[in-house]
Amino acid sequence: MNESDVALIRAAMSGRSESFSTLVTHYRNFVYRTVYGILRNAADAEDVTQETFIKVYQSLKGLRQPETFPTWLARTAVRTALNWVEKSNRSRAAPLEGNIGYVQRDEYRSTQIRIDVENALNQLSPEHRAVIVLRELHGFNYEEMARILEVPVGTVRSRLFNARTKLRQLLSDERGDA
Amino acid sequence: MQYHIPQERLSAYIDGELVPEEMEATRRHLNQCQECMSVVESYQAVGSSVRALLDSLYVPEGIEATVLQRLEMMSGSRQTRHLFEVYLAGMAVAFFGMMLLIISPIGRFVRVVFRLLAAMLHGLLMMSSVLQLVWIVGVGAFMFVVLGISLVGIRRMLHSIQKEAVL
Repeated sequence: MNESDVALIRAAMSGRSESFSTLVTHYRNFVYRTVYGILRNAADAEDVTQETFIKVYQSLKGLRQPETFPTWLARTAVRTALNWVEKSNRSRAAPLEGNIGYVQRDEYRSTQIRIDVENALNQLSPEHRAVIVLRELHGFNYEEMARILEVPVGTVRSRLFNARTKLRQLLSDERGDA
Repeated sequence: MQYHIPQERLSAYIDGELVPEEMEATRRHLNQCQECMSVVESYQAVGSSVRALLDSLYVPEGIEATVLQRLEMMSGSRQTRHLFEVYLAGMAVAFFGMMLLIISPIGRFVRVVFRLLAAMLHGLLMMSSVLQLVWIVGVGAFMFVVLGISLVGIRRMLHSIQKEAVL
């Protein structure tokens, strides 16, 4: 996180809505990718992204160290997404077709690998998806992940190992390696 | 039979989450053991696949405007709720203030005066039913004259006070 982001956070904390809007622009994909990784549904991910930023705005004044904003934001996003799953249980019925409109038109999208990874992620539990997203996408260390998920470091370690192992197995099955 | 490192430890090794001695020992082992190395590579491949998938996602444009709009709406409804709460609090304060006034000595005095006025009004109303029309007209005319005299007297008194003040 750079200096300008810290300044933005401080300005947003003092109630400047235009600063908060810029902050949303800077972190919208961070939040969206995090919640999408857990929810596996584009429409839900968009709703939860909005919900996350609303929660962030409402509790921004309680943030003591602006430097910890990414961790704090990730925690809010993950908690909001997991609560969403718990409340609606929508992730199990996540239709893959719904995602297409929100994916950048790059080469990767059209490959079978993408579909395999989508299918494999769909078969993980939301908690396992959360650790995978936090580690593989954002590169949080175990201690930060433990704080975000509110579980012991040992649980993070074993959960990540189980998620990786299961994903590897599922991807291997999808590709017919087994 | 060759020793293999537990896979959970290899997973932690990829993340750099082992103590330095374990990191070093694992690194040395991986240099010699192709089987453990392939496990590490498979975990890294899984991570890359997930990263590539999620990195290709972009949130739809305009989410900032939607978030701010929702915040404004919430702020508006919060203000309405706040006004309603202030109104209810004001009503509660007024009610308890009235109750306190009634049970206080001042309240007793107010009640006595109120009862006196009510009794006078009631007496006047009763008079109309007891007295005949001619008497009612007579009493009315008398009260009218008394009221006129009083008003003239008050006016003169005020006039004389003003004169004294000027002198």
